[in-house]
Amino acid sequence: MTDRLLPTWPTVAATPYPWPFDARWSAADSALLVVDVQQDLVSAVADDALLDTMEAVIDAARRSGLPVIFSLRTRPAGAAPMPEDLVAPDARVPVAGTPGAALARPPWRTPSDDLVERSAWSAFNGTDLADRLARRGIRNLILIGLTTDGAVHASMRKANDAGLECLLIEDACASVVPAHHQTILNVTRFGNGLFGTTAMAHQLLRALPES
Amino acid sequence: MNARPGVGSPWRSPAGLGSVALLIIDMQVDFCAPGGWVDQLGESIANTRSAIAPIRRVLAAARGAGIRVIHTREGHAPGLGDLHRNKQWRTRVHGLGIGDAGALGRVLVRGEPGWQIVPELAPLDAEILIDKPGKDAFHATDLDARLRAEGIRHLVITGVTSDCCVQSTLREASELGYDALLLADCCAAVEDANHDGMLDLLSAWGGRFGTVRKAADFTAWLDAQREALS
Repeated sequence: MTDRLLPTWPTVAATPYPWPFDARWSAADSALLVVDVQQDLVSAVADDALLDTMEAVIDAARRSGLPVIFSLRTRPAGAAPMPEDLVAPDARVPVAGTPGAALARPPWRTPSDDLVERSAWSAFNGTDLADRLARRGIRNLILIGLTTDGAVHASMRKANDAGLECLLIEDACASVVPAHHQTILNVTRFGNGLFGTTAMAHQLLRALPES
Repeated sequence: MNARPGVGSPWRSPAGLGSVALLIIDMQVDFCAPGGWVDQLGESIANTRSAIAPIRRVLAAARGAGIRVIHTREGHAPGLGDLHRNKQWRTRVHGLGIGDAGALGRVLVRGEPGWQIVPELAPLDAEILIDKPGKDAFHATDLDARLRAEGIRHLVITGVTSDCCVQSTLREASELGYDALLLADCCAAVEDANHDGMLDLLSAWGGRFGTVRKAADFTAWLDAQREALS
């Protein structure tokens, strides 16, 4: 709600520059996107330590009043089977409504949190996520979730092309292959932030008012 | 010799000369030539320049086979109305950003000398030019509509930079349902580590966002198609 005047929060000590670029952010114009933290994918790439870090970020965001948006990647029941040669763990999209498709830690999401669901890599493709963000006047987007080089980067690069100022929390996301996670961090930071910035969870928490 | 569809195809699905388009991304003076933006910033253009010769060979083969050729140019309107504030701010970190006046005109502004495609890869009149304000060539352009209007289903992607506009376009092409092929030896990034890391990521598991091959795989397929027709 941009008709409220909220004091700006301190910048996040991100790489390659303090985020956001214009040093203006608050619960009125920023949001947290939690990408595809679903049972099947979590079993393949995540551990409790990673989920705990994600939970700490979500809790801190909520206490600060930041909107928290969840994305699910699913394919419709009755859709054609996945091609057999698509063997990457993050390419095997679960069928909607099945246990593998469900949020790994259901209590993370409250009924009033936005939820977008699609089969594409990007959380923007085939959803109204862009409209939901625009309607709330969201200019700054923080991303966590799975996988760094899959749906998280796909969503971040889409958001970035749309002009959103993005921050990736590097220890609250993961790739199937650790080297791919690092490549995305490097490429994101290159050129003074081609796709946005990155920061550790503790650096974000330090900037949030209620954490 | 009759080329059987799907055999030796560098894509996931069978392709024909009429269903294929060659996409050459952002091979502009500002990225790839002496005096352009990257060069003015004191960064090396050795890598981005290295893509010119291999792309030139693929372009010649594509033109010889009569397949659709599309060139993209990253750039902004002179009034900068299509330039996001954060993008402009980031590029100004070293004092010369998008829209600023440099040695070859205003950086990445349409119509300026630095914005032009390098002469070695100059487009022909019949070829499609896509001017894009973002990294993904489909973003805010009519690229998708133009491809569909011509019945294009298979893309061959080349250009710069592999870690930015090339991979963004490859991913979106795949999202939109195109069978996308990246030619690993016809693209480059300013830094080797980012190029190598990105190719590794894109190639893993046979390619999650399209296939990754070498130029020779594509030109061999072209030759086979032309033989089958002769």
